[in-house]
Amino acid sequence: MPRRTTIASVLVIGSGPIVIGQASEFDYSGVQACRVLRQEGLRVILANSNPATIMTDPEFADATYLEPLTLEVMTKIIERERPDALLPTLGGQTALNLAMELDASGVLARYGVTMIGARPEAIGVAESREAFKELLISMGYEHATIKGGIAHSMEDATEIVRTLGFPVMLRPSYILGGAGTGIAHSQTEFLSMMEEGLRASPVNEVLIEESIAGWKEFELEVMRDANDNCVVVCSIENLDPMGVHTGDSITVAPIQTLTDQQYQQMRSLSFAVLRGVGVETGGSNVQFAVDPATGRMVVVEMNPRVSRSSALASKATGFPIAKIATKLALGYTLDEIQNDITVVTPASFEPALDYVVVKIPRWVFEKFEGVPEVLSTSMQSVGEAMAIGRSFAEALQKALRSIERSRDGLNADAGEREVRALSDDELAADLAVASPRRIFLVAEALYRGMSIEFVHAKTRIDPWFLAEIEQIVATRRWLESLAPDLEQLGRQELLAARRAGFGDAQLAYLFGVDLSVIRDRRVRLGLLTTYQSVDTCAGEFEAHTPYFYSSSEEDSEVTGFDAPTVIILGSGPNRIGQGIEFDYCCVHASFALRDLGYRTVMVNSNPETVSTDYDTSSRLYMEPLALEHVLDVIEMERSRSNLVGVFVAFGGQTPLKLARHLDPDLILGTSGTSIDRAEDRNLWSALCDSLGILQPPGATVTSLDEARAAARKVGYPVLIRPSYVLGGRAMEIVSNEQDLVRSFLRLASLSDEGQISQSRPVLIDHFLEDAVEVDVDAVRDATGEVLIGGVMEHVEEAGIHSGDSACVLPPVTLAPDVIERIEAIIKDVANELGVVGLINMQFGVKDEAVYVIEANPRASRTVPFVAKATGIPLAKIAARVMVGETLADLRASGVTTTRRGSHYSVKEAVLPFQRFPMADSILGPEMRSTGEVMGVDDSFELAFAKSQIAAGTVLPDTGMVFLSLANRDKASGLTLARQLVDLGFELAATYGTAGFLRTNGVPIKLLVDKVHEERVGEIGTARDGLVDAVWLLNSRQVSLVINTPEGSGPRVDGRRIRATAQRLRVPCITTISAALAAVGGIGALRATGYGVTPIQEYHR
Amino acid sequence: MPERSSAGEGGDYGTITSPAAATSQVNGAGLSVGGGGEWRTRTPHRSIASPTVVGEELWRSPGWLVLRDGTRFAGEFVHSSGGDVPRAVTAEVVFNTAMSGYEEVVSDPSYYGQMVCFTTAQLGNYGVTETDFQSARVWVSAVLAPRYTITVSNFAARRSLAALLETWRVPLFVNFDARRLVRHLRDVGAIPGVLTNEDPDVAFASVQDAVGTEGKNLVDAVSTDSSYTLAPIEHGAPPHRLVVVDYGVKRAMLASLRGPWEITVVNANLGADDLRALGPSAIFLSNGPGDPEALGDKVATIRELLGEIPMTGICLGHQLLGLALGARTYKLKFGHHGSNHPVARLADRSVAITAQNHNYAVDEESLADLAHGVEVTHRNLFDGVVEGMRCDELRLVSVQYHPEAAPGPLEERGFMASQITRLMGLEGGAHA
Repeated sequence: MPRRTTIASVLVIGSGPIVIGQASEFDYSGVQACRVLRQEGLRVILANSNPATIMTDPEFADATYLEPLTLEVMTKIIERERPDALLPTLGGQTALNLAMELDASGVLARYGVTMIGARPEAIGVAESREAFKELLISMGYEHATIKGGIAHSMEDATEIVRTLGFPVMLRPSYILGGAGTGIAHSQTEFLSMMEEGLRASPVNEVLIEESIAGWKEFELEVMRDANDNCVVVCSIENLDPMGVHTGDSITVAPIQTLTDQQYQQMRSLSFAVLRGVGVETGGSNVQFAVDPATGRMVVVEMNPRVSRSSALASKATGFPIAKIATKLALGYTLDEIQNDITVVTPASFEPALDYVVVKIPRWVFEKFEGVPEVLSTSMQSVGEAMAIGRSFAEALQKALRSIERSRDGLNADAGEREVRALSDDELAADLAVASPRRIFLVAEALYRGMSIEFVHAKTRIDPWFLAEIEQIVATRRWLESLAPDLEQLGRQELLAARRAGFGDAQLAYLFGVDLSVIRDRRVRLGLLTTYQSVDTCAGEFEAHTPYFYSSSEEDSEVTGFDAPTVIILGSGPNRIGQGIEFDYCCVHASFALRDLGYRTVMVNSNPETVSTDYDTSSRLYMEPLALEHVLDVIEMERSRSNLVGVFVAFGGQTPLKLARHLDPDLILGTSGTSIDRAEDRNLWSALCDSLGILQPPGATVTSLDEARAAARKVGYPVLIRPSYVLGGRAMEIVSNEQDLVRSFLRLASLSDEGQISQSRPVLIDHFLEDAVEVDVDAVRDATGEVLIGGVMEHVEEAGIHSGDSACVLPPVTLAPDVIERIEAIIKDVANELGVVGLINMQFGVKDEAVYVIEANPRASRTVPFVAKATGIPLAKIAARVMVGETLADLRASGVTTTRRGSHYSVKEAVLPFQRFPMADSILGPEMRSTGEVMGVDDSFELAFAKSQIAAGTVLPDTGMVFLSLANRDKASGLTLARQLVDLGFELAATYGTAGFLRTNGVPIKLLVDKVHEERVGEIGTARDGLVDAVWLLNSRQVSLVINTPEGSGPRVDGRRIRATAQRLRVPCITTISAALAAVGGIGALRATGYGVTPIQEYHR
Repeated sequence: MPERSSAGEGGDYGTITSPAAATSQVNGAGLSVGGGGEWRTRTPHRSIASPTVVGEELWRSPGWLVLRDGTRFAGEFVHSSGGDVPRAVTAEVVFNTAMSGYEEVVSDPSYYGQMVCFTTAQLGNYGVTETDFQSARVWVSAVLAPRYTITVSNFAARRSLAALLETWRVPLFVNFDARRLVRHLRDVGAIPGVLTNEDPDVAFASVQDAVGTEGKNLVDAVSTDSSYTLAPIEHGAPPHRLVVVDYGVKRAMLASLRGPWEITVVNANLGADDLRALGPSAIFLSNGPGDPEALGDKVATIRELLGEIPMTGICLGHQLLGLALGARTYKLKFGHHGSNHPVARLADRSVAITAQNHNYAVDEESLADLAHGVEVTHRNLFDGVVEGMRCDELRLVSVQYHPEAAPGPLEERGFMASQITRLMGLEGGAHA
């Protein structure tokens, strides 16, 4: 069937900021979609608020709207663009929900926009658990449904649970990543969870079901075309049974423990579901649970869109689901689409895998104090890594290396001391709790001789997986019986170890030698790492698209490149502090070099990304970014291709950490020595001194005594942090010695990224209170010319991690001469360090004095934002400079090197506190945001307001604002309060704040008492005629909370206010500068209204 | 010589690799260590009491696969209970890309005379159910796989694949670079090879004269000796009879042929008169092993009945029908063996994902100038091979793929029964 001819323009909705449950996989899908649409000659209109995405690069669409993804804004975009069609299935739940709103509100009908890829009715059925279940029953599949009912009220709920009994599973409808879902074991748990669930669901709908926790869990990634052809692209089995969200589960492809008959039943059922729901074209994912004792199979849910699992399935099979889904939406059928990998065969087939894929999530519990490390039905991971092996054992151990928790595999490494330290009883108890470390506990339990039966009873993990793990453990025992005698580690022994997934680092640990000893021995014994291709067909046809994974077979399938070849080391799994921004940089580096005629080789382990698309680079290795694997890739490319060098500067801290172990001659751009000079505290201070640059006084320490002395010397408050980390990991501001001691001890106890040693000291700096923080990204070429990409002024003052702070480009309060001085400093520093490529610097400006906080001669988190804000393709420029071009060359070839437009761009962070209700939402020097959004407009205030809306903050236009300000903020608070009153807001304030404001003539409508911990729960009570703050919030009278914490002392007061606001989804601003900007934004929006403009016009 | 663990240890199988002869020794911890990279755990898998797990002792020993062209692969034999399984097996080597369904494959008579290399990473995971078994015995000459998994986990499992193969004295050869074998077969085509646990050079010499399935009548060995009958599945149905000529039929095929007719399964060598005597309303020509051109007598029988009795067929039956019509067959380079083959239904251009297992195919050009008009109805989208044909004049319908699946996708399972319904004129009420 040829494609629809009635469509000339298509609106694609992206998924917005990276949040838990919705990450860079939708950049991957959006990029594929935009590419296909443009290849088909269609005008592409793209809406996405996330500037860190590749899809929002101006060249991927004809009109790119970096605007909030709200009904109001989308309506304006549709009004302006009048697209023929809307493609809502590639931007996750966000895009799907928005499309449904656009449909329900009549906007699509009004402007004649056709929804392609999914019909609203089909989405409605798939998304409503009630309708979905009814559908299954009507199709004769009642046996495949879970018993239960739908509640819209507490009364419904009570009735349903009476028939089911406990435990029951609760799932709110229309939610993302499983927020608000969980298992209730008792009436008390049930009541509180129901309340939360009804609130979490935008339609106040909660499904209550029999609990199937502990059942085996499966997923099928399915596609259907307009001709009713259906295929399964990938089958996935979860190692963690039902009860752990699939996004938090270790998953395996293909399915391992079903017979063909059972699998085919599941396959047929998934097609029936697709047809029944009415998914006409595109990809869907259908989830199943199977009772291990009887084989009873139930359909858990289906998503009528490209999902996180689709990204995984695409990378696991080589079948580009998003690309194909887009073509199908245009009317093509599967048999009309070519399989890029084989070229000779069509896309209407089912990939055959001859390897095993393991995905492991990456969590960041360490960033959220007070949040228990317990996995459940609500997703908490922020990223994932995928590994491919010739067996489950190989893939599992590789994947554990890939998640970058400083583990070399499934134990048999230094990191195992944590599980080794547990008593048998503790171990047995911990096994019963699903947690990030459970997989290591399982291995330890089996190592100690606990039976598979016992571990299965505790974990409900299928015995097949446990037995495979036991084989890994048995291999390790056997290796231990050979150690430490290296002579016993012959070729056969090495091969056996490697086939059980053991890497060089684990063998080095077991034999008590350096990694290099094992590597040398292995090479000497002729046991080289081989690379096999991911070809969709298990070798049946020749693969043309080179996508590889390592193994220990007899030969490699890699064909060398004659053209100059550059290896780009990626950034690994998304985590807080290192996410999509770095993938953006890696992808840009690859694009830039391919344009120049280079061959690029990407190494990355993150299946969610654009960088791991098989056509982003000339070759892709899905490999852990662990030293041994990177060295192996380098060896392979060095032996077969014309290898020029390696890029370590684009993937964040991950490749940078590896850089010091690589051949220095291979590092392109800034040298390892220069990187060290910027990272090493003493070298860096010396450099600053020699250049006459101000730094906040500081010191490096390795012991508590040194820390105390240093803090006294530099003066409190001090910023304490480990060296060599990204994202402000474990960074704190402390104002007294007691807190310093606590903070230092916490650092010392960190098991992985923060170990303290001479080579990894702790940094103590005087903290510049109330300074304005400034971020700058620049590129220097080998001739010494420096290009300033952008100067960004943080909205929050110094002390809030730059990743969590809003920032504006260009700066709004900095004097021109301050900016000049900042630019001069970055040029001096870049020259002194001999930077070739990117450099990012952070400054604190206090009383006109410019202090340098830090310099990082590498890609930074803000590079994509700067590129979107200015039109300067900073990462591409850096890549070209790093292979020898000069900035003058680039200018001559027409590359944009100066800022385009006179607009303001604001980047705002998106924080995951809704996911972690037990964590305090106050911002600090440790980064906790998962993603970012961008607001663009002609004034700072409008751009800021847009950024807030995009970040999900509903800025109120009327109502009551509750103010609770720290003493130091009271002066600026007065300005703020007056503006609010002028805008017509009523004010409520805590006693101290109110007194100050009233004294200055600001009317306060309501006096609020501070929340006293001992009085919590006495809702509605008041003391001395004051209303309790939590009561006030609960009464829903407040539309905005401005709560700035007192100093940097213990932050308990206010914590309950913030927690309550968060629970009720009342916007809560915690810094005075952000509050001023927000109020300015409210005023500006009221004055000018909301306007939308594509980024291409701003850059004109 | 198979290695074995110390007495009483109940040693089990580990992912072992050594092609070299190895000696075993036992250390004090009860961990048995072999010089070739062997280990055995203290916990034998048979001790797992979970109802879904089947475990048993397994042994392994080094060996080689040597192809006729000299390509060799070092790997290991796996066998349960230390039984005396022959190692020196010579047969044509083919690969199957299905990711599940090994039980069905090893019991499929069409694989008689071939050793099958499974490409899926780990074989044996869910054991053997026996209900999914496709015939009375294991027919493959040998099973080759990248890795064999030692623990079986599935509620339906009754025993392990290794134990099943052991019973039928069929070697299981694993821990070799199966992907290299597949890539090689893809390039050179299916060729004979020999498995050995002795000198590979000697084995190489022994395989020089080996031939593949070409020119071989393998059907007579797999066909049922005596006829048997399956009752109609509906009471009060008209007295129709479907005669199934068993060239190597699978149980799933027979199950999918059930309808309001009696089914009589007969030996492949029944002549036309014998078939006529059964009074069939239609004849089904089953799948089976080997070269269709080596089955001249069967072709003659079919030719005699053309136009007289409606006939349907799959796989070998489809090829024989082609030959009977006067078309030619040819051997594919490495055949079609898997569960993911897209087949276009040419009538409406829709696509079926099909199960396939054949090395020969009907030559499309030779269909053009036949006396009776034959329409190509199905085509393989991987390589354009004829996957189905139909001759309305003679009331013939056949497909090259396996509509009964087992293993494979179920979407075509009802295809043959619906065609038979049509050919018997039973549409419109006589059937469900």
